[in-house]
Amino acid sequence: MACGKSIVIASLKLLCHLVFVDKSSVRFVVGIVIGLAFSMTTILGTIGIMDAFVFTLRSALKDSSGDIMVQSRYGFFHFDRNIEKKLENPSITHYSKVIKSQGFAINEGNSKGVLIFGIDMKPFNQVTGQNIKISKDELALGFELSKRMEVKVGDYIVLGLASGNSEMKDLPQLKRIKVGQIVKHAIFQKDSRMLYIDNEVLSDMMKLGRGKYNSMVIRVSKGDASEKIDEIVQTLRGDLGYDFMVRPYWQEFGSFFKAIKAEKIMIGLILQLIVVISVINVLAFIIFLNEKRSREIFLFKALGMGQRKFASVWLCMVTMLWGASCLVSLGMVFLLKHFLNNFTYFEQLSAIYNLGSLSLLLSFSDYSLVFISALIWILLIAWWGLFRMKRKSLLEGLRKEFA
Amino acid sequence: MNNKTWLVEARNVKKSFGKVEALGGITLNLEANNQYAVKGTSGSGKSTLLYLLGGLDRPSGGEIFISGKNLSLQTDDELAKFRNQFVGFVFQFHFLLQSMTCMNNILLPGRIRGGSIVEIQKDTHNLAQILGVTHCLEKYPYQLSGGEQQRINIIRALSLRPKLLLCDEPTGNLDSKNTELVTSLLKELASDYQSTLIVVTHDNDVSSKFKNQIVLKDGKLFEVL
Repeated sequence: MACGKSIVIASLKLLCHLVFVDKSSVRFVVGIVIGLAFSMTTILGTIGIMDAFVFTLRSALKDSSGDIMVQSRYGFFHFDRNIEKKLENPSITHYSKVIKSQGFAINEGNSKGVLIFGIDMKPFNQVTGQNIKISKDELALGFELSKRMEVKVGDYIVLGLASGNSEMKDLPQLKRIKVGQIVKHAIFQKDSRMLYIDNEVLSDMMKLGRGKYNSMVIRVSKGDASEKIDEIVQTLRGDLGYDFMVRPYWQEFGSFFKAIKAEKIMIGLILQLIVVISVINVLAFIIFLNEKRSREIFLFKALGMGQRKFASVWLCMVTMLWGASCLVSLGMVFLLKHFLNNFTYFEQLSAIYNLGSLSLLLSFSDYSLVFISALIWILLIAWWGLFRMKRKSLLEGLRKEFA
Repeated sequence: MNNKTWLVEARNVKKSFGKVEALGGITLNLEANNQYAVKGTSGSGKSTLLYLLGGLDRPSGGEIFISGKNLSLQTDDELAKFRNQFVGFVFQFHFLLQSMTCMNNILLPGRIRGGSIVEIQKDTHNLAQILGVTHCLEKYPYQLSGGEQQRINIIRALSLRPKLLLCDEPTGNLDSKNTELVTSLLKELASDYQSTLIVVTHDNDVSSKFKNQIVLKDGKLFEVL
């Protein structure tokens, strides 16, 4: 007694004979596989770019701002023991006090409004993961800003800013200062606006006096523990009170992230249309097989291929087509990743999206969702094809095809 | 008569295609390992009866028992299995797939059944030698003459050693020389394989070669000779 598996394999060989018997059928199959793979790659590419965009943006924000940003609501505050105690939380690994101000960078007729961070280098680097190394008579500025100002390391620019809220009459304070470092944040907006300077130098320029700051940046833990960060934010809001705004690093782009998430779902759904178009190709192929190979199909049935066996082999063959499409799609995704990572054209595109570079980020669930939804479409069409075949009487078919 | 083993029992078998009645109630019993010719004019319902006996179609009324098994109660899949393992068909138009070699055409029922085809290949070579078509096995059907194609068709029908060998106008497309050859081969091989042979024909020369003749007229059993 032949086992079921060998029967299915033997039947599958027969059905493959139907499909690959002539060049036109083979070309049709290749076209279907590539078409379906292309559709799935389009969806994967779109989802992947969006995910990578969110991931890169979050990482870049984290790297430039730390996990939590604290901003005083009423100008400058004195960092005393009381505040220090409130930051003594086992989950807070590092924190850094910052003087945040706005001003102008001026260089030979070029001027640009900048966001100035007066920092304490070591703790700031520990919090943000950046590697800012400047001396007291130097400043660091964002990459895009340096391009706009046409300056490089070693050049001098003039920094203009207010000298303090209480002494408006002294505006503006100007200081010629050397560019010690050019910094990349992977966020276009930050690269084009940020300027770092030693906090004592900035404090002196603004005549604030020692120990006064208006912001803090905090590092909670390694990795992207969003829930943990949220928890600490809530704790700090309670501890620091209304005098301070405590925000997680992503809040700056919070609504943007929500919009991307919604957009991802909508685009994923809309792009199903592309899969449907490819599945119509599969449908055309099924009709093609029904018409062009009906002689063989009826003969197989007459010689004893039962409907159930035929259905299982038919679905197996369609699933193999889908499997081949998935493999080709994986290859296409790999190529797309390669292009995004290696072609300068895509780097320029990425600037529009505020990011340093575009990439693809796809999780197993992304692949599963796209591949399985395509499989569902294909199986639906295959069932329909089977139903159509079943409707034809075997005898009528034989007589019609072989008369 | 009652002591005989009936391989085929048809009881008041009817078949209609829409409003057209092809068979109007046929009752007959056919013995195992015997040989029958079914004859009648065009439209008399002889091919329809053959296809019903072979499980290719279902009757509109009545019952058909093959080896005591009621075909009307079989599912489509059970009927398919019955066709594969119990029946061999020889059709007028050969029903050979032009895209396969003759050997692969012959192996089709075996491949559909699944399992080893070594025995079938061995039998095929023996039969091909007997029928004088060994040189045709690796050729495609379109490279063969009508007589050769029909002999390949016969080998395929016998490939799974069926109990019932059904032939629909097997000589319809052949000249007189080949007609005689194919008819005698069918009778000889059916006897060797202990198959019950039923040949549908409108050719009196062919039917005259059979001791048992069933004559149909207008979808009814007219005479049993």
